[in-house]
Amino acid sequence: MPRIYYNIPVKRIFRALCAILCAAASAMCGCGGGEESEAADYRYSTIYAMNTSALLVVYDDFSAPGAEEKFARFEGEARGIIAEVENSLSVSKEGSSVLAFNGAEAGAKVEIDVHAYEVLSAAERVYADTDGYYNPAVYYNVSAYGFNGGTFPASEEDIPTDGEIAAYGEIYSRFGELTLTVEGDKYYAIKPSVTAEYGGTVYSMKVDLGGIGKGYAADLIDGLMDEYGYGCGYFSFGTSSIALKRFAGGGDFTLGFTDPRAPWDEYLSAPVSDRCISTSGDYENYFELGGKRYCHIFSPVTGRPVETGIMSATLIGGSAAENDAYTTAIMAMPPEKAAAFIAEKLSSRLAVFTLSAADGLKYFTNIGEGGYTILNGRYTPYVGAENVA
Amino acid sequence: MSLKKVEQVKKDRCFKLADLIIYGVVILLAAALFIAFFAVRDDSPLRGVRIRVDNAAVYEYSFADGSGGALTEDGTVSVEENGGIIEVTVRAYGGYNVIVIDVAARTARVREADCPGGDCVYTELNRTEISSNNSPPVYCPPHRLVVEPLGYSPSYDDPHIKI
Repeated sequence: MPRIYYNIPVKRIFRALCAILCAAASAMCGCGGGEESEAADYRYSTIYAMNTSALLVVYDDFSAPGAEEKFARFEGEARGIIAEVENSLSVSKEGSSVLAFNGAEAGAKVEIDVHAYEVLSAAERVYADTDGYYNPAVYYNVSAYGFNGGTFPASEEDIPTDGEIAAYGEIYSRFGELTLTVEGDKYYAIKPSVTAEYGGTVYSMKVDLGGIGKGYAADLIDGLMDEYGYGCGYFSFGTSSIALKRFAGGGDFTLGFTDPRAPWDEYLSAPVSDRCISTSGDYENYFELGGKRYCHIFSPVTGRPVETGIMSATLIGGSAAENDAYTTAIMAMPPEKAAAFIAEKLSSRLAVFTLSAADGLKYFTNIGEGGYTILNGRYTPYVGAENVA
Repeated sequence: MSLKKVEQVKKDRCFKLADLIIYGVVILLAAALFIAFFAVRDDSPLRGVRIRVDNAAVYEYSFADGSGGALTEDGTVSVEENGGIIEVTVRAYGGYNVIVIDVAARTARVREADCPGGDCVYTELNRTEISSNNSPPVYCPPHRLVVEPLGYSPSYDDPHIKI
């Protein structure tokens, strides 16, 4: 019987199998190869401030003379900066600029420190840029829902009435009238001369800069890392405001985006380095009543927790302080407006937001194809105006 | 297929010795990586639980011999044991957290806290349970409290960051 020889590339197949085996083994070990496969030399520090924890990680050659002492100095300075920012922006700490501003009479000129000045300046810029969708003066609204350390409404009857929300709206809608001045080496904020009365109490403007303040601190630590020559590492303030350098050896970090409806999981990943990042989400701080979710992000349009369908928003690039404010504003915008706003005003940044739509969970991003990976098939691209769930 | 091609295929279809050595090394390397991965991974049951406030350990419990207890006598920690469930109440920074340790299941979780966010509290949506030596710590920033596996040491060898 004649023997038949097939032209099967046995060697090629075997080579391919070997390559697949190697890749699988590498993946199982979590080694990307090259510099990432080497154990990184790092130091880290956990800092508690602004009601959250911050993580500082630096990759360096700590066997070098003086490296440990340098990190100790850096860590001390970082802690000092964060404490300064907290002491300036706290709504309750005695001596804070924000407490002084909040406690002042309507129309009063209040001396503030440089941190409060810088953060209020950033807040004013983003307020104007977003047509008021970011507004740090929704203080009373946030408090009325129990998010400023109070108690969440236990029943529908405890939800603030339209009258109460309207009174607070008279105040926060005048945030654009805030005036900031510098006289010599002193900084001042002139409070808008607006008051509103509700339930026998007269209210004047109060602000809460906690959210944007974390981003501001991240920006300062980012600058401090530059001063110390640390090109590898990161600073993460409550995971919502991050100053990212490079991973050990100079590679990218892999950002895993929290799935807002399964926060223990991730729906998207993207390689990123040397950027500041901010995220806002309705899964971070919320309560449920009658099957409805009430989150800590407030819409200046309604004066109540956002109900736009946008579940989370992330910005990569630019300053973390501004990104904190922009992501808050995006959460308050209708999805079509948010997509248009990103295209028009934030095209220099990478943006991602998630949406709960009538036909399922969606994501929107301006990151180019190949620049990210969708990890969860439940999320499909948002392509335009859709019914919000 | 031409006769010449058939002859070429017959000649090439077998591996040369050098090929086999290289492939053998690759396979051994891959196998070694797999073994190293599974050997290094700590999948053993949770050894114990440590609770810290402001970086200082205030409570420890070891499942191995049932030893442990409050590490401070300043009233920060109170412990109640009931049928294999240990309830540890920690009072710090003007609030409290109730940590439940299930001895039989070798798990620990925060059942209750009076902070406004309640991020540390285990719920269906927030599955912050410590069930293995690899479980990440549970943080309660307002009370500066951390619940973590006994002997836990964080690693930042991974370029992955969750946001």
